[in-house]
Amino acid sequence: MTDTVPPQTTKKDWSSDQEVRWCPGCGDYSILTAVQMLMPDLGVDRENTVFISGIGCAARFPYYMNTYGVHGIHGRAPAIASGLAISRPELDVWVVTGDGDALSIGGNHLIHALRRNVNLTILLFNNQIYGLTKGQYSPTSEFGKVTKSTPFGSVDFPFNPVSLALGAEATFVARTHDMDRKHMMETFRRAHDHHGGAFVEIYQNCNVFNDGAFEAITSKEARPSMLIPLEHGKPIRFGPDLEQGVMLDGQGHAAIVDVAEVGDDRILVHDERRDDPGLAFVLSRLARGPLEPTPIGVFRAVDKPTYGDEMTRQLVEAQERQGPGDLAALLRSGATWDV
Amino acid sequence: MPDVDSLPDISVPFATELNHDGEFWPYLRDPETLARPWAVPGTPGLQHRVGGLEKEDGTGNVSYDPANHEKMTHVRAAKIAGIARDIPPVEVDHEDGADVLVLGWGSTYGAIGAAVRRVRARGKKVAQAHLVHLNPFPPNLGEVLGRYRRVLVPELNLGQLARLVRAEYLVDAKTLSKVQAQPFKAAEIEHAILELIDE
Repeated sequence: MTDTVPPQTTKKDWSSDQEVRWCPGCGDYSILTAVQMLMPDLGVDRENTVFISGIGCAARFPYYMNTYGVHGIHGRAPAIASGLAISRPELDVWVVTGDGDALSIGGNHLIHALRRNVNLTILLFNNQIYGLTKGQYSPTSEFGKVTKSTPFGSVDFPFNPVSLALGAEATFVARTHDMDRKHMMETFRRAHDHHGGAFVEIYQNCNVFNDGAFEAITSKEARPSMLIPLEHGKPIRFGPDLEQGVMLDGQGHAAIVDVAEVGDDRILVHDERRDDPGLAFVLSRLARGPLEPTPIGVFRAVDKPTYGDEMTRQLVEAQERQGPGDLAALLRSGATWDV
Repeated sequence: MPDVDSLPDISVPFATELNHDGEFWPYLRDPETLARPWAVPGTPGLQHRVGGLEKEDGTGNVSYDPANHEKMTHVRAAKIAGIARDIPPVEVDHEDGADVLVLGWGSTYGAIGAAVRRVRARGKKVAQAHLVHLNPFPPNLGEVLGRYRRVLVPELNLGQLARLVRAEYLVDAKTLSKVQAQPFKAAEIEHAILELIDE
């Protein structure tokens, strides 16, 4: 960490001079704008900020940030980013990925980066389709989805990215969507400020190959009754007049109820800091897809030692115990012989 | 056991300064090695992006220009080919009068060596060379291969090195292939060498 105060910057300072190439109308534009507008407020330097991506439409993101950037290997951005974040703890390392890159090609890298609690901010642009390759079903496409590669409908059961991240016991898990810049910025800010592996799913419209996938919940008219805002310490309520709420039934399932019918005190109070990710997981199962009332916001935010901090601690302790490393002594430390 | 002080210095000189008219161009190249400057995160003012999309020569801007793509493809190939300058020439264990060369690589070294000694013990002439670098090849490999009437390439595969040597140098190399998850026996290679000497 630097002791100096970063200079005041604007969105323009964080935008590179490269031509942005996504389809006109793509949800990626609004996510890019939200990130570029947020950066000046984070109190960080451009030279200490790194965006790392894999392959896909979302993966072009680093080219458009005036920071260090790597457009890397398909699915492997978390691996590249883990190495950087662990070896250079003073850097701010972001991963930008998509549903195919993160959950199919790089599924393994993602869950292990989250499990290890590497200090990363991972933004997953979920459009439920392979857009760059022009419209094949992805690991988040809904069952029965007809695409170029599933002409009779997908027979895959999709991942719920938030459930997956919670299953991997990620220490910060959130969801936002590309139609609400303010919510995106606030969610990204929280993810950035979290010390540890932060995972944000962003519902993102692909207006060419999967247009309107989230419209039923993210359109301005639908939001009040279809988005369930999660706020720490507050009862989970939604609806135009907050007339609906979330309650746990006797079996531990979450259900949507009429608040007037069950009474205020039976509505679940959101606690993002619960050590056990179980309840957050239950909330992540509330909607079976973006056609039903869906929770957004921070599902989980807990403190846990990070991989990098633990590794650094071990190195320091080992050097305190054994002194600084000596390559020549190491080479001759065991039995050696000449041939 | 190497003396640590004798190990070569392989530290990387990272870029720390703007390198082109007040800008940082991440795709400027060292004229000799064609290597790009390497500015690591944390270096003020040198922010840049690297990655899979084609870049404009010099500036490193994302480029969709067809001619630039072809140029950059040639530049990258030349960069790899230029590594040959830093590779030691292949050494040949030659015997006066030998017109058959056994060319090997990797773990076949011992079996080839044993076979060559057996052939020589019979009073016959044969030469041996063993490759350490496969891409690029050592700079003198073509000239070495041209000195021999026949070239034998024993390999524990279907003949991958032989195929490269034939493609690169238009040499009629003969493959001795074995894919049994077992090493060559010296006798197998000895037999193949004798056949070429006597043909």
